[in-house]
Amino acid sequence: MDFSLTEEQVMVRNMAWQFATNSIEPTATGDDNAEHFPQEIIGEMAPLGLLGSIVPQEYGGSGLDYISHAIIIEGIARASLSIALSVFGSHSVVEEMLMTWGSDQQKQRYLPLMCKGELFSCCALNEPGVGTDVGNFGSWAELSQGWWVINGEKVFVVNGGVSTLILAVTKVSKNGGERGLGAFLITRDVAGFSSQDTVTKNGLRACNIANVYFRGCRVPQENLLGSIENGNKIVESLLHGINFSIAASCVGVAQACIDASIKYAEERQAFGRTIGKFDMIQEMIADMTIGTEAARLLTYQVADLKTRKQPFSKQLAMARYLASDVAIRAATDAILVHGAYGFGKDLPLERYFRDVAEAIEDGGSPLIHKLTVARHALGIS
Amino acid sequence: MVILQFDEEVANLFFELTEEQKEIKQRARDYAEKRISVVQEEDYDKGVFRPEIVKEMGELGFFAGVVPEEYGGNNVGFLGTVLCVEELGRVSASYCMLPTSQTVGPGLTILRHGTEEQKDKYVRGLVSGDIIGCFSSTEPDAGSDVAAMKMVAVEKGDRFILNGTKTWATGGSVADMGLFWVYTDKEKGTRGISCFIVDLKDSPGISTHLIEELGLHCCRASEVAFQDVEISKDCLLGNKGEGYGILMETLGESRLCASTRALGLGHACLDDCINFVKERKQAGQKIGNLQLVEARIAEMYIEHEAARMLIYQVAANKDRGIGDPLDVPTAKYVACEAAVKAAETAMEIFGSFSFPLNMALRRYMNDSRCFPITEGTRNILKLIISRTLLR
Ligand SMILES: Cc1cc2nc3c(=O)[nH]c(=O)nc-3n(C[C@H](O)[C@H](O)[C@H](O)COP(=O)(O)OP(=O)(O)OC[C@H]3O[C@@H](n4cnc5c(N)ncnc54)[C@H](O)[C@@H]3O)c2cc1C
Ligand SMILES: Cc1cc2nc3c(=O)[nH]c(=O)nc-3n(C[C@H](O)[C@H](O)[C@H](O)COP(=O)(O)OP(=O)(O)OC[C@H]3O[C@@H](n4cnc5c(N)ncnc54)[C@H](O)[C@@H]3O)c2cc1C
Repeated sequence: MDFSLTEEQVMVRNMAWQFATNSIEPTATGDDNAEHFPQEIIGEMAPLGLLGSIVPQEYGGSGLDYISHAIIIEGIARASLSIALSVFGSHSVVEEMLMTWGSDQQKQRYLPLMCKGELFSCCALNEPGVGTDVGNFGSWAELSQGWWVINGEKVFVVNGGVSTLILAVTKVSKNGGERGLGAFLITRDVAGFSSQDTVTKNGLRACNIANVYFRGCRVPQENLLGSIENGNKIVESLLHGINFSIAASCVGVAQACIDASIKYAEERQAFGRTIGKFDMIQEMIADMTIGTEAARLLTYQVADLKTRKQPFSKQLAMARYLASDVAIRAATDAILVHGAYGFGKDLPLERYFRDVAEAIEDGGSPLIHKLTVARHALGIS
Repeated sequence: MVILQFDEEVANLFFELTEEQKEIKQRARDYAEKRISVVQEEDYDKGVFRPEIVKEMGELGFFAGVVPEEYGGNNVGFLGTVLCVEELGRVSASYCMLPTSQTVGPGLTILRHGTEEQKDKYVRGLVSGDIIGCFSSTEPDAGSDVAAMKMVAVEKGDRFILNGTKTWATGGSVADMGLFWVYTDKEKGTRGISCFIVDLKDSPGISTHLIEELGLHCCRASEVAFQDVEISKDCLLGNKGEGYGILMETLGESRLCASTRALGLGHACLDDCINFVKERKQAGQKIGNLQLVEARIAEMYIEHEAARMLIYQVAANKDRGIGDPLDVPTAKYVACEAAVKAAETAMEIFGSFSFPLNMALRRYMNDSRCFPITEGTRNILKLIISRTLLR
């Protein structure tokens, strides 16, 4: 077992951190305030290969392994969880779905444009009042004269208002009967598609999150991803993709909380010394560091399993649970280390906190992930 | 070997509510639900505080618990006051600050240490809400470490000249008056700190600046800067150099109310979660039937109830003139940590059902983060407790 990063991974890390620091950090608080999705930053990520990190080079991607992917997600999330979620919790999940389930033709058609940022994408799964309980989906796709006709509504869709390619999962019916689930690649310009942005969010305010509506959208048959027989597996891998990125993002924000806390602890004076000299402050920083490092290692373990195409769902549930728990703890404790200043808007700690509190619910409540771990441990299916 | 001795009187957990106390609790609940919840809904995102609420609460007697009848008091005591703060806090962590910034802080401190003139000038107005109060020791570089403050008052004839900057003063930009702790003799350390009553509206040289915060948007904190502000010698509260002792006393009581604000927020989380999980279904069953949801609700209740008992006990004992240095910090620690956790549990329970978060959940999450900071941080409370035990 070798825990050291490869040269490539170190390069990737430096590049992501540098980009985050120079191009994301400076406007992150302003975008949060204005509830502005910074499309222009996404554009800058394409030439760096950040929009297609895991996509093979033959399709225009960077062809990186999943540990590099996790490292990139962390680096971006340190500066903005909103952007991390938009690019890696949504757009690159669609790329991953295409890589896993797509036909050659689909890969060739979409992936190069996605890596260039000319197609920006989202995953539309969750439904109002249903969540991911796919058995109760209200959306339907029906085959009619050689076209899929899609009707339904999806909610909480990251990038829903700004993406040009939508991967939507609906029930499929045939001759009035139910036939499982289908995942469809739908372009925004199709008649009957519309979206409604979610506003006044508490966190992730620089992330575009929207409800999307399909009203009789006609989609060519070749836009079905994978097969209907594999519908449930596609949903599972979609959620895996989202949760992997949430885990890595949480590690990134937790790291931002540690960095800020260390900096402040070395500057702030109380009772004649810097507060970093107090053991209780050291304990807070140690707790954050231990938790974050553990979550990072679990996440890298998942990444390694993914790269080697091994089963990873138990490890992912552990990583996802721990990372979200560590991140919310670190965000709260970082506020406390900063005292009243942590509660104020002149520093980004309060933004980290608001962002984490929202993001940890994406892809299923932490409770669900804990139960997934338990089911694996107990051997319950 | 040392065996911890529990003072039997202090450990006496018995408290019984008087009719007046029950009444003020009900009045606070009605007012909070009918009036505060409505204005807060409208104002929270805009960060608006309504000064008329102070007057209305004054008329309802919410600031009158801790002062004698001759100053407009209503005899409900600390216990009545915390019951009232708890009810207000169930609805608004912002507005439930008022009993503290009116009487539990400034009013009571002036009653204890003020001259007859000072008491006459301020206390009735603070009780009725005709005067809006605040109190402030914090400076940009001096929070927990009060003695690190830089602001000074220099004597000049029959006046003091104030120079320096206070910050994080709750209500600082709307208050008519405030208690300010400053150095009159820096050489003497904490024994050189004095407390002044400053009229904020008619003292030239004072400027205030609102602070942008994570939460508590209806009750905002401000920076209050003093530049050559001249005040009369009559503004000195108590004697020169007594300020630090006065502050510790004031904090002893305001801290009890700070715990109660946390208690109120925890109460609101519990109410909302119970109502939600009884109704909401996930995969065909009520989520209240899921064991981990049951576990979270039970934990929330257990911690809330422990905090409530501690707070009522401290309050009831204060009304009987009993107290010890451990009781308030213990109550505050338990209540604040419980509220921080209750907000997170509420988020966990509602989380993926309600995006974006409704305003109540946003308030619980955001407002609750202030509790382990204000009026004694988490670490400072632990230090007070262990240093008292180890003394
Ligand atoms: C910020 C954000 C971004 C999102 N982005 C997208 C997106 O891009 N695309 C998309 O399709 N969806 C998105 N979602 C939706 C998200 O994927 C779903 O909300 C999430 O998967 C939750 O699924 P669910 O509703 O089935 O609820 P779950 O999280 O599975 O459960 C909901 C609640 O039920 C309770 N619960 C359920 N089962 C149990 C149990 N056994 N024991 C105890 N409690 C239980 C818990 O309280 C839990 O919070 C987003 C959500 C958020 C908050
Ligand atoms: C919403 C809000 C309202 C407020 N209202 C008022 C008000 O009305 N009037 C007023 O005067 N002030 C007010 N304050 C300020 C508040 O009292 C201070 O924030 C508090 O005293 C802590 O000081 P600080 O923020 O400067 O943190 P610091 O004292 O700088 O502490 C920073 C961190 O170091 C830790 N620390 C400090 N000393 C030690 C030690 N010896 N050992 C271990 N750890 C230590 C603290 O626990 C904290 O985590 C308010 C603050 C907030 C957030």
